[in-house]
Amino acid sequence: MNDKTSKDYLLTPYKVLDLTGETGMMCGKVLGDLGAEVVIVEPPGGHPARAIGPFYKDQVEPEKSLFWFAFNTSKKGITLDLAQPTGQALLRDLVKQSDIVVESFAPGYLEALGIGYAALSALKPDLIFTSITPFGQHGPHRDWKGTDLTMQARSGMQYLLGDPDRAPVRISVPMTTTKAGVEAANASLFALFHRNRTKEGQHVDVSIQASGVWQMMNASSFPIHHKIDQGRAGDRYNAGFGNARAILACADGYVTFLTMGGHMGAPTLYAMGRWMESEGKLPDGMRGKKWEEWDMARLARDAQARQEMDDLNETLATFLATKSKWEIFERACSDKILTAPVNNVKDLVEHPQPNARGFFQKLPHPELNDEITYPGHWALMNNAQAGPRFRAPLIGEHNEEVYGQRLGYSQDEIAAWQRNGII
Amino acid sequence: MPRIFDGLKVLDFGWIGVGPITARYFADHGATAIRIESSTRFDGLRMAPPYKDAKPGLNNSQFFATFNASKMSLGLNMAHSEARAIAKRLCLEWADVITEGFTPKQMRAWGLHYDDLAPTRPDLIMVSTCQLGQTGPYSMYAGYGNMAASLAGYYEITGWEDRGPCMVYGAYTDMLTPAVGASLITAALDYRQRTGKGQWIDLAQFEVGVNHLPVTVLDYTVNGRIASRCGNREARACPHNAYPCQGENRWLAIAIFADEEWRALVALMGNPAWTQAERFATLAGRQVHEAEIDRHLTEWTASQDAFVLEAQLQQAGVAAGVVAKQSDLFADPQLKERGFFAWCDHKVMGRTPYDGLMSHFSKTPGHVAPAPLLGEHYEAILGDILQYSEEQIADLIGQGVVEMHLE
Repeated sequence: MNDKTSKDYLLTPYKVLDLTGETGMMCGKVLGDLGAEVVIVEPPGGHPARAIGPFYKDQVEPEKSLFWFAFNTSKKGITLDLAQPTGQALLRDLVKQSDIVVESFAPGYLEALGIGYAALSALKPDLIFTSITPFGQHGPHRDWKGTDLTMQARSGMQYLLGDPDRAPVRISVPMTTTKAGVEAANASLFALFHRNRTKEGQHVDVSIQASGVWQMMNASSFPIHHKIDQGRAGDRYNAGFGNARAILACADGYVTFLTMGGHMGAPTLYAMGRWMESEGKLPDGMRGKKWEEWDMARLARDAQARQEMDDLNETLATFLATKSKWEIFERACSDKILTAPVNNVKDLVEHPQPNARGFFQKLPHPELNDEITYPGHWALMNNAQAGPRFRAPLIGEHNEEVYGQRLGYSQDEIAAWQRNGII
Repeated sequence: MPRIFDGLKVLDFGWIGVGPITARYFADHGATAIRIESSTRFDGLRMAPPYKDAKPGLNNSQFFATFNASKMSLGLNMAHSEARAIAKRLCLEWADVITEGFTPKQMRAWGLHYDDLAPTRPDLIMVSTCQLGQTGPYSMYAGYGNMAASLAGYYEITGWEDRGPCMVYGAYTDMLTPAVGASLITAALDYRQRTGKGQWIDLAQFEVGVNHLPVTVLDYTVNGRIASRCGNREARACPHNAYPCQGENRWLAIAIFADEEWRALVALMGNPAWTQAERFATLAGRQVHEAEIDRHLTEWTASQDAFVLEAQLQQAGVAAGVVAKQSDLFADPQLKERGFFAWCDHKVMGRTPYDGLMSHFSKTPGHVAPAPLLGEHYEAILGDILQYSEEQIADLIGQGVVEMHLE
């Protein structure tokens, strides 16, 4: 499974035209990593996302944005000004040769230029046209602005994150847009599957807000069923499972630990008992305890059970405070304990498990005279592979290939468009 | 109305989050999806909250129901060899796609590993998903998505820089992995149509989590920078925080990236004197004085209605969003317009809301149907699909091979 060298990519026959901004670029990356030929369209001079840091060796230049690198692997790149009529004509040429167009403009923007779904599907009825926007194409908020922070807020996730005595927080990277980009890739593939059966294209309308609600696991319906809103609980596990402290300090950092009763939680507590016993540190209160009987429903309504859980949690915390992250991880593996280190990015890049699986992948950046290590495969497969194939494009890198070889325009025409700021 | 996956057959051995949600994607779009489950080792979500009327019961969990909408259920006690034989028949004679989410040895123990099935069914598409992957020295690590999220770095980057890491609600990688699984399955179905080849997909939830943090990884591998938590701060924006409003635990997120957005905010505030200071005119200046700005904004927002202010800010071209409580989501006019919550009539729970579709399809709308009771569809599956006679089915139930918990 780990051998990827000679395997096919799954989507090699398909062409994708990527018109997205920073909030939609993940979609094309996924399709490109799966093997589709993805061409991202930048305004002449370069895409605004190239101004987003961090930058390669902190050199703030459009060809050195790590944000751009990260979300545009496996894509080719062309420049094109969609606001000019010649640019729109070229776009129509490109669309006729594409299976999927993905875009993330404000709803109505492309229609106003005459290159919205209605116009493009008239040219190519089997086109799949995927739109990624904060709130979707219709509805009272469709024209509202949305950034990752405000979408974490409006999707409900932010209300659940952070310490109770301070403001709610977001995960400190743009997760709503990243997640919605993967959702958009999936939805585009669903539409492609349908098209291949029926020759019927369609408009796929992805809502970052709706995708964001799907971050909250079981939370959304608590007010309907339990007449409560779940709230933020800092380092505690606040999903209706007893509210135990879920982040514990250990000798060299933190671990997450799931103290939970019932049949989901009992094996962990028995295993912790064995570990503590082996070091002569098992307190009498944990001896002979039937952890299965600590069911979640009881923990939810019984204050005494919750107090017992808090006390137990403190006992476990005292024991784990003497162990390292790595010791705890190894014990978790060997004895099936529901715990894991709170890794930082260094920990996870150096972790032996993804490295044994060949997860991290070096891509050459010849113009930097360097190779960069990327997060790699989306999965391992027996008959195929899926992961970054090559680095993100330079500005206009594939203008010649796409306009010349693919669309058949002459060198002179291409040069003229370049002079006139069309490409 | 045709649906995308009419005729597709998905067999779901998944439990908890990833396998079930992955399979649900197809079920919402017309595939026939059968869950294999048992009351003897039931899916923990069946007894996990929220519960209808706050009462636990195998058929009373909204948590389970939402993740398993639109499916059928067959109750099989896999301790019986006859149960394993039935499951194997479904794998070999019926399924196009199989999902499973055990630690790597369970399917092997049942004789249902990909290696057991592929010789007969080389065209099968099977997703095996676990925390750390099917191969590698730590493949047997057992946990939930809250562990994979911790391993993948999410807790380290959530919370306040002067405090320890925060939990990310729930089992976060469980919410990221299904769209990847469904994408790979769909791409594999397409590949199968062209090549006849099936696919075994080893989907590691930890890796999917890391793949959603590509910038964080590159900033480390290129620049050696180790990201940590920073509250609501954002390198490209200021102010960028959640501000308290009128009411209990009522907050409004405001994100100012461009200077013109700052000026629009200032104008909406009525150009108070403090905003006119030169140091606030540029992003760089605002970031140096972020704490001061946050104090002023807090004074301004604290007495206002969050929803009214949100609308005013949006009107002025400023990105703002009420930090929605779950109860707010049901009143959200935009989610309502999209019909996001799918209210389904469940045989035991009655009419309850399921988290619905994230993407809308103009020609092939999906449809969310209620989750199955444990073992609800034994007659259709054993009788219609596998052609067991009524007597045989009665025997299987009598022996405890087939289970039903229909109340």
